[in-house]
Amino acid sequence: MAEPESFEDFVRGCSRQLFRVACLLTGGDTHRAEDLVADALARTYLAWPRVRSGDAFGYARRTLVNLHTDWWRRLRRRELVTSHPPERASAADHGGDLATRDSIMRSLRTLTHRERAVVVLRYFLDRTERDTAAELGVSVGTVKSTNARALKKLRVSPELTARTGRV
Amino acid sequence: MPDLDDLRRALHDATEDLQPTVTMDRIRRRARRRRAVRNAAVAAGVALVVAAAGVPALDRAPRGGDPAANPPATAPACPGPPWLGTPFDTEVNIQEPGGRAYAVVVGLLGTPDHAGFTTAFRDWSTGQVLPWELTGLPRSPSGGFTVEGKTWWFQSTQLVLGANDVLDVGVYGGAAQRITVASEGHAAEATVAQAEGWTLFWVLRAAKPLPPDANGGPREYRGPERLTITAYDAAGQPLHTVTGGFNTGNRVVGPAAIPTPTAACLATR
Repeated sequence: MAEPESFEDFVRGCSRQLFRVACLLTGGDTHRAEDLVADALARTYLAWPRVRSGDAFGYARRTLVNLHTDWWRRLRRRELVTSHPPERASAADHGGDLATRDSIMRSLRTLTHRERAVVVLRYFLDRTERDTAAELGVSVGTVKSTNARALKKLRVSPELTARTGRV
Repeated sequence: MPDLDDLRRALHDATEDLQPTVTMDRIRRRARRRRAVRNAAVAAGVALVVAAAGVPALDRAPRGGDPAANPPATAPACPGPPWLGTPFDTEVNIQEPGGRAYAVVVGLLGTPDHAGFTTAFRDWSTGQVLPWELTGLPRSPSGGFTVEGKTWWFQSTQLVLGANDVLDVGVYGGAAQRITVASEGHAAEATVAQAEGWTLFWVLRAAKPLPPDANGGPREYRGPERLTITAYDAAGQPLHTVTGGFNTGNRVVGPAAIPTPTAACLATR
């Protein structure tokens, strides 16, 4: 990626992609996703002189993933709070973009935070197993086993099956 | 059962039309808050020590500068922060129009191992001291201040008293005979006082103030108003010097923040 002229240019160029990652990591909680993006970009802003000539997007993305992990750990110690109460799939889930997104996000919410992070890094950001392991601070073996569990869950997820039309 | 390509497509499709509404203002605010939290983490140790030490009466011994500038002897003893050593009167007073007058004092709080540099305001009518800012001073064994392997020698704050009047107060992390503060090519001699192996300094200067957010961004401010601070030994040889940086003019505040919200201040000397 060419070096952005300014931090504002960088934000313009990458905030949408970061937001997409954050939405997937949070299982579609857009408010939490925006918080994560704002926090990740604030930290990137403070580190800008150091990271601007390198992989600034990588830095911001890693920060975002780590913030999500930290947030989850804090949350787990207290109680599980979600803006998405469990829902049953309805007929409306099978048509339109909004329904498609809801369907995928619901599927993602059936995963643990680590499973979701692995799926997002591996299949949305197309990171290798080794990169994913480094980014999450776990071993490659853990990435493999976590990925296998996640895929198993997603394959039996009724929402995802309905979305893709395969059984 | 979907295959991996289906999964990839589903992840992309589900987020394709999402647009963030994160603004630069929001990012900057969070960055400022994070930097403040980081700085406060150092000061927190000092604050804990201060809290644990209780609130003894303010020492009213003459404290540097002109003794006449100290509060009247008839002023009642009043609560104040637990000073480490004696506070020093900068001989700069600020006054609300038709209202209270305050002397600006500087000093150290806490303990020698957990010290903080504070700028405070002493109410002339009651003698009460209102601490305003506390900056933690993590002592480096080899001199100066250190956090996470980074060492620096000067910590300063700028009080903006007018369009062309500033009071620079700060501390040098060693023993200096004299200290100068300069900006835009004009140097001024600061008043100095020794405390706990460090040198406190303050100087009222006719100079253009630093911008309020000079050190609020990710980069060091490089405008002409940035400060150059130099410490000299008894032989007149420079010990250390710094130009700009996050710890130089670390806080820049105008009269509205001193010490009551309504104060529009008048600097006197």
